[in-house]
Amino acid sequence: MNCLLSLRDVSISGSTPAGSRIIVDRLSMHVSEGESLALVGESGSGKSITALAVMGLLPEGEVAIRGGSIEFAGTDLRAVDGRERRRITGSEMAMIFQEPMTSLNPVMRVGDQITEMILAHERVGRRAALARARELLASVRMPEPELRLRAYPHQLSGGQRQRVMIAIALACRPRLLIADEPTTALDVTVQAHILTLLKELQQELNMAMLFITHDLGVVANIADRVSIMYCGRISETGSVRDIFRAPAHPYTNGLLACMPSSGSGQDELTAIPGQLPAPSDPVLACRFAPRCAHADADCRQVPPPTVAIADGHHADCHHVSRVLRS
Amino acid sequence: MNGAAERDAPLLDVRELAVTYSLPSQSVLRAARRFNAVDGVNLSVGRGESVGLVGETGCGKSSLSRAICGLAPVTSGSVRFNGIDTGSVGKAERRTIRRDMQMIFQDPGGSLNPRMRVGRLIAEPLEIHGIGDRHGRREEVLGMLDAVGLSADDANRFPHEFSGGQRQRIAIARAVVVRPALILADEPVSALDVSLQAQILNLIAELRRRFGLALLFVSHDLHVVRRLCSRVAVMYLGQIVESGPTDSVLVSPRHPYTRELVASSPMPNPDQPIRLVARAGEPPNPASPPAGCRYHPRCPHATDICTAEPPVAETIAAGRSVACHHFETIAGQEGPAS
Repeated sequence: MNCLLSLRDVSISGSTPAGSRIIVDRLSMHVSEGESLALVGESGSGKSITALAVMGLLPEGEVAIRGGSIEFAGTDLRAVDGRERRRITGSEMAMIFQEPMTSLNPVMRVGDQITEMILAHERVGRRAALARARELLASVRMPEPELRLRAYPHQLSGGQRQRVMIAIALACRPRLLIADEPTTALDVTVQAHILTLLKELQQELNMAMLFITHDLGVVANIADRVSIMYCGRISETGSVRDIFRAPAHPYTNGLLACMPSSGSGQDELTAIPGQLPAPSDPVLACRFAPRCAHADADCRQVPPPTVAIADGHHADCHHVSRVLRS
Repeated sequence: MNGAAERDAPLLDVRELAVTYSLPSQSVLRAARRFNAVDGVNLSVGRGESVGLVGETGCGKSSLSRAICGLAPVTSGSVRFNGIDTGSVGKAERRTIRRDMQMIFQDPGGSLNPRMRVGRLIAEPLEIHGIGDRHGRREEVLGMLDAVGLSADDANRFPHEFSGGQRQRIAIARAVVVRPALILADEPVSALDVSLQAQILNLIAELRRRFGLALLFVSHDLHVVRRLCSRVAVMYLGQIVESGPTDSVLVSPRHPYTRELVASSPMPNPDQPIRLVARAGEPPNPASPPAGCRYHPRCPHATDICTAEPPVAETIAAGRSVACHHFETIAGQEGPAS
């Protein structure tokens, strides 16, 4: 498969009252055409910031890319001018967010919000755009699409609003869809329908997807490959099977073990001890060391090597062989 | 306060409970519209027992738990605690009930006074209920800090100095310090990161064992409830549609809504994908529930009777009941993966 999006050694820093702080540290990853990559992490892991950097949506003056390269379909996204960036954003790559209500315009009809996207990127008339909008609503399985074109966002349910967001994102048939926790605010029964829809659309349109989530249950359902992030670093990458069958990083292992669904009955959950580090905490060579059962002196001082376990499966850890045995 | 009946009665016994809210009137000429967020609910929690209350947004699970502890108005029905009807008690008895029934909320930040030091926050319930002297209370606070995994030094810090997970520990300490008989926990881990959820769930389980607490655990997460609760009640639009022993209900659900919940809950296993077993759609507005069975618009098994008559809860096995016209035919079909 051809590589569509590739990030190499990307570092992103944010300014805080206490000075500049690294949010994403030398991150490398790629998304191939038509595949679905899940980027998994807890709060503060830098997963959303990474997505915003790809979209060119980092809040100016607060957060900035400090180094590395972001390439999309052979184009260096850090070098493109505003015009080219606007062309790519929306038509070649599009993004959906966790809370559709904050992304939709509350005083604009659904139909107009979808056609707005089409008219901004393509040379078509209003009537043609509106017809396309109707088709798009039908393709995201919106009940009574004709009627919904004239609805305002507040007249729709949470799941329907997310369907509208997906319709807008897909309006110009992007090659890459970035989805940042698109189902986190939804109930599980609605989430099930939206996940199924995204998966079907992804296959129908042969579209690549970068799916950001904290929920490993969702990952198992949507991803071909998985990258796990912890405190600004990718700790492990592999196929969905590798990650769930043979996790090689202690953090991945811990995340899987502490899921309430990972066992049954009322035996104790295997929790990851400690807490996520605070921004003020000293940065250790391996950020997970303070919470890791395998950690030794090396882990605090020597940056962990990237160890390849299988084709496409690698983890940044001094003790991969020990973790795989356990 | 005596007699065998008293001791055999469940710790908490909710009968035909309704909670009614008024919606703002659309016009001054029209009466305010009213709707039942909780509609005819029966629920009991035994001494030391842990019961899960599961449902989605707007199903009334929070209203029910708030009504139980007196934070939401009870329109009809009764809440009996320790055999006493909480609706008709005097001031002194109400105080005792408030001590014996404690709550933990989803957002610990919202329930901790930001200007109080942690030691004071944990001692406050003891002061209010007049438990112990100054010295005794101090000992108790230190013991409680240790029990929830915080250090003695933390007593002198303020809530904002703690992370979300630690703040939830403080809230739990405040609830458990008065040695209640029942804890009502409303989504206590939903706002926490995955790696911290397990810690807090383990802590609740441990304190429950140690102090013999009963637990009513309100959650949208089936997996969490399965790990923590021996019994579960599933709520849909203000009513309990199915209840029983957790493993039995979640492994072989009989109500179509429970089946949908189970099939929709993602498992961290690529070989057990979610399945769509019902029509797409969200629970309708609780202010205007559908006639008959409230689940019928989404139900793949619905027939004419479902649109006309509300089903009555039937006991199908020891401690298991389900409110569905078709539970017998549905049982014959392939059960969802657990």
